[in-house]
Amino acid sequence: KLIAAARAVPRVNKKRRDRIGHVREKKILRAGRRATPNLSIASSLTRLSKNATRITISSRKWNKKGWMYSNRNADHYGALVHHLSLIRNKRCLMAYVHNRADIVRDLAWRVGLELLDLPPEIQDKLTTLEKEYFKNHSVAIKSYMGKVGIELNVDMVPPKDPYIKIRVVGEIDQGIVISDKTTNFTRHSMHFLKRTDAEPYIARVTSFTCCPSPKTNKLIRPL
Amino acid sequence: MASSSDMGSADFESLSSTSDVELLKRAWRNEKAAPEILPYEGDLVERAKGQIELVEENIEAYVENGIDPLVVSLYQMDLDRTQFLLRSYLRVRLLKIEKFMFHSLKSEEAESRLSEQEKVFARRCADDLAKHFEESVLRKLPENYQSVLKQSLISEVDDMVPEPHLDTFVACRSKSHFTLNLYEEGESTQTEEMYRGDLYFIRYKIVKGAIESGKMDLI
Repeated sequence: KLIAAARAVPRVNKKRRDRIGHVREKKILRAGRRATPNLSIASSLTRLSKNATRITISSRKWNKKGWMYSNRNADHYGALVHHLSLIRNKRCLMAYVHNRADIVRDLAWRVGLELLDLPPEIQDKLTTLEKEYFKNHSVAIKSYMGKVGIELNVDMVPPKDPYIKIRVVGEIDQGIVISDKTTNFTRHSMHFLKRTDAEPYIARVTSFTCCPSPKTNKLIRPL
Repeated sequence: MASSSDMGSADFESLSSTSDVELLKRAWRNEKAAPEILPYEGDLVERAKGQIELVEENIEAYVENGIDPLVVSLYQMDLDRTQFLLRSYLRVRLLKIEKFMFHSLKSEEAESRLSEQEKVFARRCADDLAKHFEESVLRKLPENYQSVLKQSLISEVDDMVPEPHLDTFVACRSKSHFTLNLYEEGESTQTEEMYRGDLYFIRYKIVKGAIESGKMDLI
């Protein structure tokens, strides 16, 4: 049963890796992220490991101390195999969680630092722990920005013109205030806005167009 | 910043190479291309911030005085560009910190390259991530395997810390004539002569020292 569960863990990983010491950069799969079912495999696996490990750990320690060629018996090899497979499972699990954390951080930079700005499809796919992590991370970023005194969230793309033309594609709540003037963002209206004002809305579009069904409220597309 | 460019053409080259915008551009380019985090240019950032504020005030004054809007928009463009440089520079550094959190807190050398606020940020990030790992995975593992940094208690070094890849190839240009030791010390010392303006595509490890001392620039 242990072996069957161990075989399930690499399937959980999107990209299998053997050494977490050199975590490589990945392409981000926005639409196809799976959520919590994998964690249940992980927890069942670890429960099994816990029960069996108590025996193994004690025998391993004993083997390490008094290691002599003649002390090697069947138990030693069993313990070794078990230890190696445990480490491998730990690496797989950590790699999976680490990748998801990377995606969460990337979302925070691209879309916005507020949890509620994320579209509901993505919010469904995040576990509560990840939402916690998202919140903590945004707080850390905000505090850094506050200390340095510069906003780091705007100007993601090098500026070409100070003003850009935009067209409103989706619905936006009325009466948004931009640079001392209230603007009327009715659908399909075109505006000539300052770049820094329009950027947060544009960022939401570019992150949504990769999701399968964009059904969101605030959309502006630049022309 | 805009005013530094209306000097005489003979001095233009030397002046523009030392103006803050140029220095910021150079620092930004180096930071973007390097696989690890480079030393923080604190003074440069402070001066750039001061200059940006100054120009913003000027622009507001111009708008009130009714100077030709074209000129005002030119100043505005220049200001935007410089602001972008500054923000991107800080952003690239933050992203590198996020990528290699545990490594930058572990090694003394890496830690000395961060500014004070970046150190605080790095520590918070690392705490957050460690907490996240612990809650989701490590709590449920048996005892000897619960460390974030080591694979198990039996490992002697911190195996689970991702490190920046110093072996990646980078494109760089040398600014003056000097010789470079192509291999690490101790191995065969094959040197290469670098003349001014030469373009090289070489492993980062080898040119690391030259970049820090300013002899070479990353592209």
